[in-house]
Amino acid sequence: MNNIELADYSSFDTLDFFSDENFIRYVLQPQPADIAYWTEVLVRYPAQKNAIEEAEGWIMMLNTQAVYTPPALNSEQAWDKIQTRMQHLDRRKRTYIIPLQQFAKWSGAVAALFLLYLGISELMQQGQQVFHSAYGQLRTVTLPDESIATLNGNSRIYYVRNWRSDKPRELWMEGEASFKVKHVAILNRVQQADSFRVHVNGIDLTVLGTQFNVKNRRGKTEISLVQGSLRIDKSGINAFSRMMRPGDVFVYDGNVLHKGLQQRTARASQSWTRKELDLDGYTLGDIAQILEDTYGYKVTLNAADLSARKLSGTIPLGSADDILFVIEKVFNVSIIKNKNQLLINHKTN
Amino acid sequence: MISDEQKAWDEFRYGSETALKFIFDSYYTLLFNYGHKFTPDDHVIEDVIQDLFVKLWVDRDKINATAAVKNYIYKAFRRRLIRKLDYAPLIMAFPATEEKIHFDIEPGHDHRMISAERTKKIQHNLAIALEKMTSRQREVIHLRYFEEMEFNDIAEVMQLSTKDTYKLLYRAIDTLKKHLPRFDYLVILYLLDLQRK
Repeated sequence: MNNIELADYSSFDTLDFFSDENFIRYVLQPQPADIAYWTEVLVRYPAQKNAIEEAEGWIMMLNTQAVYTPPALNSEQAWDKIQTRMQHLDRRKRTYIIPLQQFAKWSGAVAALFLLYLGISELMQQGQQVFHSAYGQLRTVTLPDESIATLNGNSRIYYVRNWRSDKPRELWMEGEASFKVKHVAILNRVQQADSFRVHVNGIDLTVLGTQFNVKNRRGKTEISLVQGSLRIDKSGINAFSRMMRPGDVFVYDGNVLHKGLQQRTARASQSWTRKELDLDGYTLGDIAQILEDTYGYKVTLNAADLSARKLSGTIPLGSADDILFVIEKVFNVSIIKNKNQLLINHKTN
Repeated sequence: MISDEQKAWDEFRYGSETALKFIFDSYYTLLFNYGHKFTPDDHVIEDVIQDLFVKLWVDRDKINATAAVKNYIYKAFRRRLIRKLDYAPLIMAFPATEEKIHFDIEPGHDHRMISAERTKKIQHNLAIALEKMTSRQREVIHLRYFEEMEFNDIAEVMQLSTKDTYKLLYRAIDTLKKHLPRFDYLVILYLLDLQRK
């Protein structure tokens, strides 16, 4: 017993024991070691007996307070009430809250998908916009500035989407297209940024508000101005710059620009947009090329003399079969059709 | 080693009603007793206990695992009860408001004591000292000596820092010191008195 190391309790009073953690543990949950320790304390500090007893008394008194139980306390009854409320809430959760949460989750997912779709389509439109038409198909495209481009069969236009007001509107094309350009300049204050520019076959066409047709087939570009004014520019080698006036037709063959034959009017070059083909100035050979370029046929003209034949008039451009029928009648030829092969012969009779 | 209580707590969190009933049974009487220190109104205590367990059930998916189920229950109960008693400080800047909370301790009987006469005297002294304490001081004493909670548990239940809990207990001890008719103190007074004569 004497070998137990004791703290110095000589100056302890009741309150010191009462608030001493070791002492509290000894009183509330005594372990054999605690009992040995405090027995030794009592032996070594007999003067503190009173204080120790009193502190122990306090702790025990506080610890053994009677648990308050109201007369009507009934834990089973209380639990029944709680259980009833629990089940009621669970039922409500099943019938209303969970379906609502699921609806919210679903609608959230739908909204997220929709936003994603919007985002992606917006992103896709940020880059190059390309429109092209199939053989024999007309296609009308409204450009971001509300200008209208009509594509003849087998044609393509593309532009970089974000046209801004401080830069010229720029567009690239292949095939044949007719334009109705919206005039955006303020009267008498024309700026570079107001112009509309078409890049085709290495030349640039710069216009303000205007109507014109561009036909770019087989390396040859035919520009027909219907209304307004248009400037043709070529930069680099063989650079040139020409102003066109309404009614003018210019042809660029990849090297030289020359004024087109007057037989073919500018308005006639746009006739296809009205689903007609103005034959003025066209030979059967020209029409054969149109059938190849615009309608995708492979045409074989069997007689050289037929190629140069000219006629005037208008052919309705409905279905390809209608066109062939009309051509047979108008040019007095026979057309043998085999898939996309056309064989044009003299009429045999 | 996981206690039955912790096992029940985990089962309850996964939706076992039986497990919650087990926890309810272990704490119902004790919570009633604790609540009674704040208010003599049994209906309020009953309501708060029922609300507490219904709320536990509703929130079971969001409740975390804990090693200190008792702390959790006591803390939640205390907060609800105080709110219900309308003592809850409206603004946290006035924590002193909580001093108003009524908290009663009636000393029990010590069965280990020596003589009945001495027991009575000690009990009397303790009762006087407790009466002089603030309710929060009394509550600390109750949680420490009756509920046998450690300081950090008391701090959690009363929503105080451990430091503040210590301070509160020291102040409680101080109050005891000031209000106890102590033998030594009386002797000194007596001696001083003699000298004056």
